[in-house]
Amino acid sequence: MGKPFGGVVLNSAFRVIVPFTIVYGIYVLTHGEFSPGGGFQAGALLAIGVVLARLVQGQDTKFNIKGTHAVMLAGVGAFIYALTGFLPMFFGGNFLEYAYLPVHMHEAAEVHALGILMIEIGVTLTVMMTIIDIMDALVRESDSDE
Amino acid sequence: MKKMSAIIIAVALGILCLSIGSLPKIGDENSAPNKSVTPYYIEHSREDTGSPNIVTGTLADYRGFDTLEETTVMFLAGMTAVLVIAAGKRSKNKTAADKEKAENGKEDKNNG
Repeated sequence: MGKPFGGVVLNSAFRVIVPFTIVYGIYVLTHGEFSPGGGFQAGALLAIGVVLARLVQGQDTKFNIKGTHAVMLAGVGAFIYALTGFLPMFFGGNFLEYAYLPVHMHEAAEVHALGILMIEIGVTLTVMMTIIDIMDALVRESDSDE
Repeated sequence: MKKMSAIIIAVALGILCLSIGSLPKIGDENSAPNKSVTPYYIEHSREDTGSPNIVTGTLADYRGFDTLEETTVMFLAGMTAVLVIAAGKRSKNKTAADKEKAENGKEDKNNG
């Protein structure tokens, strides 16, 4: 998408919407243990911010993640998840046994909550970057049509 | 070979369809999972996982390995979509280049 399709209205509207979407996405991510939500939904919400910016302001918007970076970061997200799984294995636990994470908390359940948060961050990163990635590939193809 | 694998898949699918009748009904309180693991998850999720949300506790803690595969599938599906789109773009460019070449050749012939 070489040319953005945002006029004055879209341009000013998306400036209002995007910060709220990002904040809500991070809320859904960090509050996923307590209320409905979690990594998948948070990733979709966070990706919406970048997708909107790219659609309204075009390829050279300031709020942007390049396709090549998105591919890399999607892999990093899956790696964070796997790392959280492998980490307890070095400290005497099984795969994904959060109780053996090398963190000291008052209660064992809190360590579990920390492990859940870590894997949610990995899931969020993967989902967000995958959505941006697919959009970037589609946009690149429409570029070649012109 | 292709016929053979098709027959094997059809037979396996038929056996699968026949076995559907013996599965417990949805919401059946006397089925095996509803008698053993489900009450355990509902009663112990809070102190086991530290999460007041049973869904998150089950998804990310009791069934963490499943969610890992889910994330990997997401990642792979995204990569596949990107690769397919890129391949389509490349072949389109290639056919366009071939057409151009053919047209140029024709013009050369006409000129000659």
